[in-house]
Amino acid sequence: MKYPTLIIIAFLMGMYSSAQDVNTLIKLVKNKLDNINRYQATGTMKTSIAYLKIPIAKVNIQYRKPNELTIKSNNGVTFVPKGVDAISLQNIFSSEFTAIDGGTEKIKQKVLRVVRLLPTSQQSNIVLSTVYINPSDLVVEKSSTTTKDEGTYEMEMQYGKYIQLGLPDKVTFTFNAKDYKIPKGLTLDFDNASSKNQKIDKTMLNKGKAEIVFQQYTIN
Amino acid sequence: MGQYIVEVEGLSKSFASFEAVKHISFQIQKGSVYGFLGQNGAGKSTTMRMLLSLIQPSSGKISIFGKPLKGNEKFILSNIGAIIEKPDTYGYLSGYDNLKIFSKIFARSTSQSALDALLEKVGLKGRGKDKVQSYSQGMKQRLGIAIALLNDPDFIMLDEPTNGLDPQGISEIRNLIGHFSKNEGKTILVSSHLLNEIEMVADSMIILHKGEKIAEGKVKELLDPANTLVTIETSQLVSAIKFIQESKWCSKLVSNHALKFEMDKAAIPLLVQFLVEHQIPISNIQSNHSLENYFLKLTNA
Amino acid sequence: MSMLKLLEIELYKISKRPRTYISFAAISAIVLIFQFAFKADGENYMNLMLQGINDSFQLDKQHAMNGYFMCYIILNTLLVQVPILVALVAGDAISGEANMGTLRLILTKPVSRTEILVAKFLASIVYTIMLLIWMAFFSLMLSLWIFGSGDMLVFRVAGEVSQIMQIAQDDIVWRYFAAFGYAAVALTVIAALAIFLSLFAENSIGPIITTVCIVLVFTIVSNMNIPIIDQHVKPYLFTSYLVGWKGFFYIATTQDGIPIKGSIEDLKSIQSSLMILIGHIGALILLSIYIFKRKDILS
Repeated sequence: MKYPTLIIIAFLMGMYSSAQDVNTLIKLVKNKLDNINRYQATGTMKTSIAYLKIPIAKVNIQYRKPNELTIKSNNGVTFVPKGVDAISLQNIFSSEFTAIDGGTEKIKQKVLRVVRLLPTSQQSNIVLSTVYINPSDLVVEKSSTTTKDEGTYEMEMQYGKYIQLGLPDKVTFTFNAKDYKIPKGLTLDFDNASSKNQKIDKTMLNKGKAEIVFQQYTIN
Repeated sequence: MGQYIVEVEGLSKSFASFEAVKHISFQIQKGSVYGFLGQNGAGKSTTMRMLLSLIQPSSGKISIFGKPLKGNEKFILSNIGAIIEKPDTYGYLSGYDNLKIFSKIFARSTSQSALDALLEKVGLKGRGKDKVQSYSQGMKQRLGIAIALLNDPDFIMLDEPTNGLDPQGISEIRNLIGHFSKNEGKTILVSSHLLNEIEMVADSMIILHKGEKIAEGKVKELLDPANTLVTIETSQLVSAIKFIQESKWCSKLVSNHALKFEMDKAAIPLLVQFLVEHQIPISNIQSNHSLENYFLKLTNA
Repeated sequence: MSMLKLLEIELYKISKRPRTYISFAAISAIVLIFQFAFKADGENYMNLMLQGINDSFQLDKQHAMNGYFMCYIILNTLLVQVPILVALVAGDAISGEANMGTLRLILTKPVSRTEILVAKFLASIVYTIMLLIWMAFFSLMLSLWIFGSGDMLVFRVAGEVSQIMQIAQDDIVWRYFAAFGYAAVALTVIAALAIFLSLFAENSIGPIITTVCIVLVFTIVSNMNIPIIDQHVKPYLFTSYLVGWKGFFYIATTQDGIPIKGSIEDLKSIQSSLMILIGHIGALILLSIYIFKRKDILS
């Protein structure tokens, strides 16, 4: 009788400590991000989706605490994916949530802590976020977020010299997009050989990717 | 080239099943005025168009200035001035502009003075600036002649040149033709369905009827006074005819119902005397052009 | 008689006819109407073209509706109607002279029929080029002045695939030069066709209307998406190649879909289309010369 109870108590204590551990981890990551009141960055954005043939855009990214992020291009004609302001990460941590330990996962030779964040507020746009945290650097390496309005998007971060501030050098933002069809009869296209041979990457038909490279940060 | 500026041999033209010109041959002497005579649709314009290379003959040969027409069109046409049917020009342009365009083709002077001189020659002085669509028919005819004369041609072809002209205009055209022929030694081909026009200007002529040549020769020879058609009007027709039938004049009578005679023009006074002696009153005497008579006889035959 | 002199005469005659200027006025009016409409309500057009994309992307539509984009839209429409304007002058070449009675007048002058026909054809080309220059001024220069410049979006349906291509601002002008050059060749086919048809009539209405009808019917057939027509009919219709100017705006991309500056996706197609159009021009003009030399002038 004594031993099963002890085992149960030890298990519960372990769970509690694990939960405490996850919450602490999240808090540490969040605190790091909270140190940034604002920043400005120049960079490039490469958007990939089956129906868009667009050049790499030179962009200006501006962030203001708590979760105001804008991406603007220098030449005005840029396709900015909706929901990309989520790359501020602060967005994920902005509302109240319950953190659930998801264990660990090895991604690109790194062992990352997996934490699932469930917003407690019904008003939150986010339904579920899963973050993959590098426990030694206290940065989010990857995230997958499901929202009410913008579907699910994933982010992968690469860090460089700003890792101590939690600011990435590169963010790869993958998002869902609707199929695109031009209304018939509007374009009167030239039917050349290459028109007939146009191949589409069906995997990218409804999935888009934006790779944002941050070249120069001006912080606070 | 010899004495003939134009030599045509066995010329024919068919349009589908219709033969517009049937094996005609003629020659036009240098320096002469040659008449083309015939009713509308006789083949005059078609023949003239063939001479100008506007229409390809179905068969036959054409030589102009001693050279075959085929293959020498540029040389030949550079020495011809022509008006075919109506003298159409660019109505939306002025007289000057029309002359300038064709002067350029002939590499002639387009100076104001040169054009003015030409317009004056054809009686259009002071009208050069006006748009051709404002010209009268006679003025358009004159402009057409001016264009035909631009290159100072050796051979002039005029298709019904007096069409639509008033008597003064007709007279002026006739004088121009005479001037070009006698004073400038040009060879002229004139076509008309008006016999007196041809009679007045032409030295030689050809008569066409339904695409065929029915006569050719010098106008003077065809203009035989012995073939004058004389018509006499009288109130006593029956008596007059009876007297005539019993007299030597019977052979000259061409109708039993009218006093119509085919006779020598010089004998008219004798006939009149005969009728007067027989108490036949004469109210009117008409004598037709012998050529018209000749033409009517030929075409009705 | 030099060809240059004959050409000078033909151009002089064309310049003196009021109908010549109708075309320029028509182009100006159409372009201005387009520009006014887009200035007033262009966003709706963009929304129509971008339906589906609006849910996934933000785009500054005002910047996208710049002068280069406007010019492309205008050309898209105008180059369907401009053939009518070309036919208006070219269709009058021989039949108009026949109607006026001046054809027999010219042909009795020491100028060969070949020279006359070639001069008229060259005059039609000059007229077409003048029209295009006028179009370029109004649809490109004026659009740039009104709407400004920027990268250009090209909407395209390639087979089953809808695409939007973005061409960098500094990579556009040469494409327009090339496109207008191609359009000049395409419209010259129309001119050659109109001149050819002009040989068979003695007033201009017939050749003009016939040319327009041929272009319309062929264009409709060229735009049908029926497999049997795609394979066996379209390749033989010259109208299938009239819109080849667009090929200059189909930019090649890397494997990642990034447009390559200065590139053309399928230059070979454009070249072969040009050759086909030039072939049509050659055939029509040679046939016209052959027929005209043997034609009996009865007008």
